[in-house]
Amino acid sequence: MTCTEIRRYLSDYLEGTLAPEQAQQVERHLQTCITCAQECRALEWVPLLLGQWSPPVPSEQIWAGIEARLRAGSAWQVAPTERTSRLPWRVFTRWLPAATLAAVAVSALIALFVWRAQPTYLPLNGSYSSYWQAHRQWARSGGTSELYPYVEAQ
Amino acid sequence: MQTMKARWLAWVMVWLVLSLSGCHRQTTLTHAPAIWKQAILSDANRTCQMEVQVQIPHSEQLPALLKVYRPHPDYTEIIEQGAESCLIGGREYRPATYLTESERIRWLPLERRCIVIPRLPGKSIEAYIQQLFERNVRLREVERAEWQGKQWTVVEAWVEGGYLRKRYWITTSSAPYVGRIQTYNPQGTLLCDEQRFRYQPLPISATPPAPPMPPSDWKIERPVQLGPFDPKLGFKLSRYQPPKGYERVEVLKRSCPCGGEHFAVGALYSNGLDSFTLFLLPAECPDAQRADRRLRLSEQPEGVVATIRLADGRALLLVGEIQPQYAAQMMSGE
Repeated sequence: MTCTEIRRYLSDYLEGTLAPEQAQQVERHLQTCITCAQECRALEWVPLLLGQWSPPVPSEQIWAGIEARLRAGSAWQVAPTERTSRLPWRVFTRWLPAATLAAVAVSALIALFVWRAQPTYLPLNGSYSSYWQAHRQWARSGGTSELYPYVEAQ
Repeated sequence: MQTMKARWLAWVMVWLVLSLSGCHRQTTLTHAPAIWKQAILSDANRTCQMEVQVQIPHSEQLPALLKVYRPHPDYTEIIEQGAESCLIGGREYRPATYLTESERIRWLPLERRCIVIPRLPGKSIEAYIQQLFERNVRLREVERAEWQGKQWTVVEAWVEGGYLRKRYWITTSSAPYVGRIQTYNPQGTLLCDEQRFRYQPLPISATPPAPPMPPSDWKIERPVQLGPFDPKLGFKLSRYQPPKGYERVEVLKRSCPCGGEHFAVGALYSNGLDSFTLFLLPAECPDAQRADRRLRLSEQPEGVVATIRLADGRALLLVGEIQPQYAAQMMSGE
């Protein structure tokens, strides 16, 4: 059976409703196919979770709490409008162009500094994990003591 | 009088420069107990059985639990419990069970177990790396700590101009051994925390046990082929000088790690603590064709990967534990 066929049977296999012969075929395939085995592990929780799940019933206290928070929210919305109306807008608008110019100049300086500090090489694209594995496998055969190459970070 | 003053001043300056440049530290390190080095160097050969927890904090990977059984220095059986995938020595996400040049691996996805039985390691390479370790590695005591109800001396090891710093937790007992290894990169990121539990020394068996034959249903996923080595290729690589402290440990013509049918030349460099590989990819390799005439380099927590395409269509690829600026210097030899 192909992977596609196996996946079609996975739910039935997990629920134990497959014919013994078919179940054996699925099992044999799962022993050797990592992708289907992962799929199977992802699915194996579903029947268990569905069996345990029951919809939550909201209590009376929850509604009281929501109402209280709504009231507090509407009170909070009033305060900022009062505060903002007192802002010295004229002073602010007078200095706005100068402040913008200063910010642009500082940003340009920072950008120039960062650009100059860039290394001369270009960033690498693509995955080279197979080369990492090859390197680690080789380095490991040299007798270094660490075990971390055995769990390659993905 | 003036010349006398000048001479004194010169001496003071020399002393200051030497102290600040680390010579003082080196003096103290040469007196580091030989017992630490012995414990670290014999770590890979100790006959023992233990459980090991390997954590890679910078990744999202869950801790790996390994059972290690080593009845002889040349034979180790490692079983990874609860393995989500087996990425050892092969391509990622490929079905399942395969052999490689250096080890037999059996990956049982449904049982979440990964069994590794390495073959004999290259003894000459191992000895060479140990020599480099003896020569280059500096040690200093960082702290004394209590862990698992025992007293440990935490010893930091590094090589000047190298990449990794490793903290070895060594018992203060009469037969010291390493119980924990923490690996850091130059930015201070903890790359790996390897903790050993239930350590039990084993009596050395007279000969290494014969590895079990693989079951008939094992699939050989990616056998590593060795090609005839042409000395000219070694010469070609020798124009790329490694940074100070690193030396070329081995050069091989082998099947290309990209997984293609062609061969690639690979050279392993080490300074005793850090290692990297320089691959010379043939022009027909898709990764060589993808490479740029300008150096491209990516810094990863574990080290660097760098590529450059040569004028004749082949490409250089460097992978491993080396500081990016040294990798760039080395590969600009073209």
